[in-house]
Amino acid sequence: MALAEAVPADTFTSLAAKAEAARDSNRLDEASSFYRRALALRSSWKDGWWSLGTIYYDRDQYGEAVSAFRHLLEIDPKNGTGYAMLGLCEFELGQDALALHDIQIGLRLGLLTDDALRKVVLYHEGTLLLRQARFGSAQDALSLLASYGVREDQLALALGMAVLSITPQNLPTGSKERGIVLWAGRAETLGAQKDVDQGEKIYAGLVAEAPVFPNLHYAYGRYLLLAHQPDKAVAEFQQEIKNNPRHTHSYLYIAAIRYRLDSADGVKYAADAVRLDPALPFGHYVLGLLYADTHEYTKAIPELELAAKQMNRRPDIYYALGNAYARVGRDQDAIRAREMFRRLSAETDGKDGPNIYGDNPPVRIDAAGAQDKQRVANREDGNQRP
Amino acid sequence: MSLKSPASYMSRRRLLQSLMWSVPAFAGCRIPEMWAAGFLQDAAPSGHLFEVVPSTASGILWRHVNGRSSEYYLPETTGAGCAFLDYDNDGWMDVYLVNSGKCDFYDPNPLPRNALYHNNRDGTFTEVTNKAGVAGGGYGMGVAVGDYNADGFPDIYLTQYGRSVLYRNNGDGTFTDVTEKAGVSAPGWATSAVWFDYDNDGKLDLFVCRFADFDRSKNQFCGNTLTKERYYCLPRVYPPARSWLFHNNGDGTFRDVTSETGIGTVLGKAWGVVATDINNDGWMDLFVANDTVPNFLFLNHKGQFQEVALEAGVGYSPDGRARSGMGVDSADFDQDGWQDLFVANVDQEMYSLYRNNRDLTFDDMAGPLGIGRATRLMSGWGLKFFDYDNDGNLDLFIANGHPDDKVEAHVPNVTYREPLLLFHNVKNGLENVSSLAGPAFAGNFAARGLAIGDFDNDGAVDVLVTVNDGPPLLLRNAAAQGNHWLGVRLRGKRSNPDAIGARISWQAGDLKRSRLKVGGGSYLSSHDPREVLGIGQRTKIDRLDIQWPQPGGTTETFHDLPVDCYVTIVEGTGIR
Repeated sequence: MALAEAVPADTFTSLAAKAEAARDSNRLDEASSFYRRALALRSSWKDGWWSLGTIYYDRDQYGEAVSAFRHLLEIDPKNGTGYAMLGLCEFELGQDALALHDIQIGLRLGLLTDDALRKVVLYHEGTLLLRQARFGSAQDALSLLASYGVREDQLALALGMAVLSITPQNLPTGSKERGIVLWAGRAETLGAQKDVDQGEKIYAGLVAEAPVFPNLHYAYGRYLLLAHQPDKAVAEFQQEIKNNPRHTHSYLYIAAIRYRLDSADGVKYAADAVRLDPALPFGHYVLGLLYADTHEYTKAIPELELAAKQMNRRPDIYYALGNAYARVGRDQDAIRAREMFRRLSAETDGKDGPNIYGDNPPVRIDAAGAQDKQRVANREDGNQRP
Repeated sequence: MSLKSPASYMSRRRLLQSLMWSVPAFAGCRIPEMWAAGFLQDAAPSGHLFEVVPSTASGILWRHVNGRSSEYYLPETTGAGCAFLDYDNDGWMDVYLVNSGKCDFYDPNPLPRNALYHNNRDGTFTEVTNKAGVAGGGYGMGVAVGDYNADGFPDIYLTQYGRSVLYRNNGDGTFTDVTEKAGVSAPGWATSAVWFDYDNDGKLDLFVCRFADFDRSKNQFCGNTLTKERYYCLPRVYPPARSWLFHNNGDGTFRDVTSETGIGTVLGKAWGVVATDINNDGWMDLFVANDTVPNFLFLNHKGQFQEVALEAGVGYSPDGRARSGMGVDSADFDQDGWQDLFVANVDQEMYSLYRNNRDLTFDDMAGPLGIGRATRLMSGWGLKFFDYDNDGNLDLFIANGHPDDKVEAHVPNVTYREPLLLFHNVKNGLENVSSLAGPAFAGNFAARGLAIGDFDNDGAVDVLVTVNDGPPLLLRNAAAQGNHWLGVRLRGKRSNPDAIGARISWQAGDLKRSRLKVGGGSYLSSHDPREVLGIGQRTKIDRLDIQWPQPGGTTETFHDLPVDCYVTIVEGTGIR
C-alpha cells in the first residue's frame, strides 16, 4: 500500500535510481519491478531496457529477456552487445537460427569491451554453427575463442567436432571415440594458442592410435598446412584418401597445395575432386587454375566458366578467365571477364575472399563460410596479414 | 726526409695499387688483373660464394636506426636503402647508406644520419659524410644515383618520408642540396626512385615511388583490440597515392609531368621500381611493385604511359589477388632477347618471376623454376639479377625479412628475420644455392635494401645489404674466381649520360650474351653503374656491341677486347 501511495510521487528519475540501487544490491525482483515502472514512464531509456534484459537473463527468464532486448534494439539498433545478448537468450529458448543471426549481427556491430561476454558469445556462435554442420565457420569462431587463452574441455570438444566434421547430435558416445574428438580439439586449441609444436605432437599421436578415424588425417593435414608444412600436410591428405577414396576435400587440398609449385601433378587431384563432386564449384575453379598454370587454356576455360556460374561474385575467377581467354585469342571475352574482375574487385576492395592456400579451406567455401571468415578477421583486428 | 722510399710507409699492396692506378690504360683496361690478384691474396679462400666483410675490416661502422615507437608508425619497419656509387670518379665504388631522421613522428637527439663512405681502395672505407654534405636529416628511405646534369659526376636523390632531397655533386667531393631549385621534393612518403630517360631526349628524368597517403595524424591502431597488443599495420588500411614523374628540363630544373604522362592516372602504394624495356621498342617502361594493390606496368608510348599490368598478367597473383609487392627487378634471365620481370612479396604469397612472352604478356615461372617453393614463407625486399660467378648467366640475389616484428608470435614457421637467398642460373632454371653460399646465408636478417657493386674492382660483383635497425652487411664475392670478365662503364653523350636503356651484346667464342642496362631495380637502392660481362673460362671477348639508347641510337662495335679489367666506353668516342 505504501508503494502504491508512493507511485504518484515517483518520477522517472527516482524510479530509475531505485532500480539501479536494487540491482546493485542484488535485489533483482525489486530491481526488475522498478525498471519496468520506470520504462513505462520513459520507454526510450536504453540503459533501462539493457538492465532489465540482463536481469531477466541472469534469472533464466529468457522470454522476458528477449522482449527487453528487442525494445532496446528498437531504440538503439547499432547496439552490438544488445544483439549478442538477444542471441544468447534465443539460444536458451532453442531458437537456433534466430540466435545465430542475432549473435552474428552483434559481432559485426561490435561488442562492449568485455572479455567474458565476448568469450561466451563466441562459444555460443561456434556451437550454433556446429549444430548447422557449418564446420569451417564453427572452427573459425571456436579457434578465435581458443586464441584468447581459453583451455577448457568444453571448448576443446567443440573444436574437435568442428575439425572432424561431427555435429553435436552425432558426437560418438563411446569413450574412445569421444576421447579422439576431445584430443583433436585440444591439439587445435594449442595451435590456436601458438603452441603449434605441442599440438602437432598430439595429432601425430592421435593418427597413430586411430589411423582410420574419419577425417582425422584430414584435420591433421589442415593443421599442418596452417603450420606451413605443406609437404607433411599432403601426406596426411593422402592417408585420408586411402581411408576414404571419396574424400573430395583431401583431393582438393592436395591440388591447391600443388598449384604453382607443381601444377601438372595437381591437375589429377583436382580432376578427381571434380569427378567425385561435380557440383563443387571450388573444384572446378582449382582445376581451371591448374590447367591454366600448365598452359592448357582450352581445358581451363570450361572449368573456370563452371566455377564462375556458381560463384559469380568472386573476382579471382574472372581474373583467371580473362587470362585464359586472352591466351586462346578470345579477346572480347577477355575484355569482358577483366571488366567483371575490375568491377567485382572494386566492390570487394580490401576484403580477402577465400583462397586456395589453406587460409580458408575448400570445405568452407560457401557463402556463409566466406562471410564468416572475413568477419572473424574484421571484428578482431581488422588488419591481419593473411 | 722527402726522398724516403714510399715502400717504407706504404704497405706493399697499397704501393702496388698506387702504381697500377697511375699507369696509362692498357688497351682500355684501367685496372690490370695483377692488381686484383694481389688484392685477393688478402682474402683466404673459404670455399664460400660470398664472404662477410666485418665492419672492423671495412670501417663501415654506421648502423640503421628505425626509431621504433610504441605507436608502430609504418615507416619504421620499411627502411632503408643503400647505394654503390663512385662519387669522386676515382674508379672505386663508394658507399652511401640511408638512415632515419626527424619527421612528424620522430625527433630524437642526436638524430641518426646518413653516411657516405669513401673507398680507400684497400677494402676499407672512410666516412666523409660531413665533408660531402649528404647527411640527410629527414626520415630517410631510399637513394637513386644518376648524373642528371651530365657533368660526369653522379648525383644523389635521397627519398624520405616527408620531403626528398636532390644532392648535386659539385665534382670536388662535396654536394649541394638543390631540391627546391630543381623542384623534386616530392612531398609525402617517397620510397624507391629511378633515374631514366622516359622521353628519349638524352636527359635523365626521375620517377619517384610514393607509398600510401600517410602521416602521423593518419596512423591507425592495428593489433589485438582485446589485449591492446599493437603491430605494424598492413598497408591496406592506408589510402593509395600517386607516384611522381619529373621531367628533366636540362637546366637544373625539373617539371612534374605525373599527370600529363599518364603516370598519375592510377593510385598505388609503391615500394620498388625498375625502368626496363619490355617490348624492345627503345622506350623505357616502368614496373612498379605495389603493396596490397595491384602492381603497375607502365608501358611507354613515346613518352606517354599506359598502365597494362592486368592485361600483361603482372598486376596480381595468378589467382587474381593483389599482393604485397616490394622489391623488383628486370632482366633477360633466359637470354631470349626479352626483358623478364621479378617481384618479391610477403610470406604466403610467393615471389614471382615473370617470363616475357614477347607479346606484352608474361607467365609467372616462379613455381616451375623453384622460386615459389623457396620463397613461400619469405618476405622479399632488395633483390637483383646479376652474374655472380661470371659464367655469363644472370643469377639472382634476394634480401628478405618480414615487415612485422611480431610475426613469430602469430604465424607458425614465419620469422621476422629471414635468410638471404641466392639462385644460380643453370641450364634448366634457377637453382637455390643459398646453402652453399657462405655463413651469411645461414644467418637471419631484417634485410631491406640491396645494392650490387664491385667495391674491390676484382670483377666479382659484391653485395651490400641494409638491415632495418641494424648494421649493414657487406658481402665480398668470392664466387667468380677463375672465370673471366670485362667490366664496362658506359657514358652517353647524345644519349642519357648513364646510358640507361643501352643494350650490351658480347661474344666470346661460343658464348653470346646480351644485356639491357636497366634503371634502378631492387628496393630503395642504387647500384654500381658498371656492367660486368662474364665469359666463364673463355679468355677473350671477340666482339662487343653497344646499342646506345635514343636519341643517340647508334650501335658501336668493338673487337678483341681484353678481359679481367674495366673499360669506359664513351658514346661516339670509343673505349677510354
